[in-house]
Amino acid sequence: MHEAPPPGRPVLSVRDLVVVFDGPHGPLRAVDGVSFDVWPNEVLGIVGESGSGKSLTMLAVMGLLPPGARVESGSIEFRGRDMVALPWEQRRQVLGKEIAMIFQDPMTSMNPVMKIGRQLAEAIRLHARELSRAQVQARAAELLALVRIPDAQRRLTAYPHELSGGMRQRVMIAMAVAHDPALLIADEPTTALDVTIQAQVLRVLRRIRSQVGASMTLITHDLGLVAESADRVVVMYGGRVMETGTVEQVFAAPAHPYTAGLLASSLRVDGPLDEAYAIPGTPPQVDARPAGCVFSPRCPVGGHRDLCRADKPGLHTDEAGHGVACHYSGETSAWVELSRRPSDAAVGT
Amino acid sequence: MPVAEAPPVLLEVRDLHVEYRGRRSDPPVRAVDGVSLTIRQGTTLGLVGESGCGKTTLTRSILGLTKATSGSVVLRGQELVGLSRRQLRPIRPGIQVVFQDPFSSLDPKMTVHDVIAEPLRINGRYSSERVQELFAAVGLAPEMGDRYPATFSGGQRQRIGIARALALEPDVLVLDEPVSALDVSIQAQVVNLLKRLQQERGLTFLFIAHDLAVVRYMSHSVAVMYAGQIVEHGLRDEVFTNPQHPYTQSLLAAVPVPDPARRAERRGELVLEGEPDAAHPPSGCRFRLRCPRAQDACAQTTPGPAEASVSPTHSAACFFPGPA
Repeated sequence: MHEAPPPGRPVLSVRDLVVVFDGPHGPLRAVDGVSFDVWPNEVLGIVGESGSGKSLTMLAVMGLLPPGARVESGSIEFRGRDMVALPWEQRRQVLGKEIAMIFQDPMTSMNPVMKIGRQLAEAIRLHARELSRAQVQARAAELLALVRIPDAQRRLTAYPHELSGGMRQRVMIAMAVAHDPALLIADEPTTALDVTIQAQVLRVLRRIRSQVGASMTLITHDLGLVAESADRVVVMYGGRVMETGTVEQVFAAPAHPYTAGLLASSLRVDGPLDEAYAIPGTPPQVDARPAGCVFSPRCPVGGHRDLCRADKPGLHTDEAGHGVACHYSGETSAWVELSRRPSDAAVGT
Repeated sequence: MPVAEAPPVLLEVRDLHVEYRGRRSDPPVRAVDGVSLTIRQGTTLGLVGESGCGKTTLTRSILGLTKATSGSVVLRGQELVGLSRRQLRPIRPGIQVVFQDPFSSLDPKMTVHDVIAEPLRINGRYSSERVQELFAAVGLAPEMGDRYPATFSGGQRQRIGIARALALEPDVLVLDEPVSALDVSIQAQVVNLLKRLQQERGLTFLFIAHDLAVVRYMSHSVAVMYAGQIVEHGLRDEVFTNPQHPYTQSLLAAVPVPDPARRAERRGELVLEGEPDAAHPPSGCRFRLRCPRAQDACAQTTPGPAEASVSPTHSAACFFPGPA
């Protein structure tokens, strides 16, 4: 964990990224000027609700945007290479090797009619064609041991549907780290899992990541997951970065009203049991985003003010690396105090 | 908390068993294995458990959608198990359900007004005033009535589902993961709505969820289910602040907490090994193969639901209960 960015160069550097969709009335800016860095050996949490653009941002990094979406402007630099301009042939050499992905549901990213062992072998051989059959087998067994799959030999001959969700996700992690990637992109890797299984998979992921020495971006809607697994966090809303900083900075003293509201509305197993604060309204659809600050219609701090409705705030980062995109961020802490006042609406027993 | 007269029991489940038979040579899967629960009028019972624990089967058998193998479900003093479909018909409106995904449970070709009016029409109780009243109760604008479900957000669709379930003034509202598909900022809205409706109308909820945090906000009492059995049962604060069963404790410890300051402390906590296998439960206690406290006795006999009685309202199915 670090307070300021560590020395060296970022593994991944995204600047002013704009991703557009073709809509019936012209292009829609689904990702609207996003910038962040991923430093060596760190976990960057990208947190946001549906429609925030968090997944699209990372799909753009990988060059895997869905049909109809494209990078309109901005830059994506991975280990000194410009990923936007990189031809597909060269990008293919990067994906699955230097950048590896872990998705929410392994069932949709695995071949359902191919045995686990063969899929793992394919993932190994894809970027290491020189390996002999025996070497591939040995590497597959080694990887399964790394993710602590019990009875690994028997699992190699199983089909994906014969494994539990937790075991499938472990296989997915094994495939992802087959070539010691520099960057792991994990998109809601444990959302489909039960909470005790999630804890197991997170532990496996944490251990493996430190062994391989990979950086990771963890895309999730779960603030708890970010607080427990990430070093730094990017909070996205409506296609833009609202706030960024170390998890300590952002969770202990949220500077953006959206972050503060999200934390206040999170239901927790610890802490007070007052009536939960609920951010009013709903996140905007991509074709109905307001002018000015995209959060202003729901904002309890500055939303009613002309400046918020007219002018889109940029991300301002202080010396300690804590960035916030809000015209009135100085008023957020006072609002947090107010929202924490106990109410008398708690459930009685 | 003042000791008030406890409200009457509205729904009682007693020693309920549901078995699924596969191949003749295999033993039947005991999806629900001797479950007993009571829900008092105007309160919420939170039923929590992971996938495959049998909470859906239990709910379906309470609703009369899955046949119970044995046991009893009593609603307002009336036994429901063993009733024919025809005998159930007049009782059915008394239990209504709100499902996880409101979109899949709403007819896409019906306007929202008709979706909410349908149960009233079927029962000959339709009036447009009643529909308007339901719109207002769940915080939907009346002019939304002409629109179709697809044009609503997830949170609004869940409000529609709640309005429809309330239309016939049910005795018990079964809420089956009603907020788990919603965004964080919307979850709190729907939870607050449900709590307000309960206070205003004295509603009785059976709240089913895998998310302990949501259960904590919603429930007066809590039942924790594992492999077909209730392993711990008590008032909310009893279960959350003084859990006795090692499974409840592991479940609570596994929920991520949005507080980086607690990270180091939480990483030291126990991570439960293994996975439940509902189709092939071990002898004795069904949790014992994953349990850090298991001893020989746990393999010999199955602990009863009230094996450890902590208080008149709090019990755990464990031979070695106690704080973590």
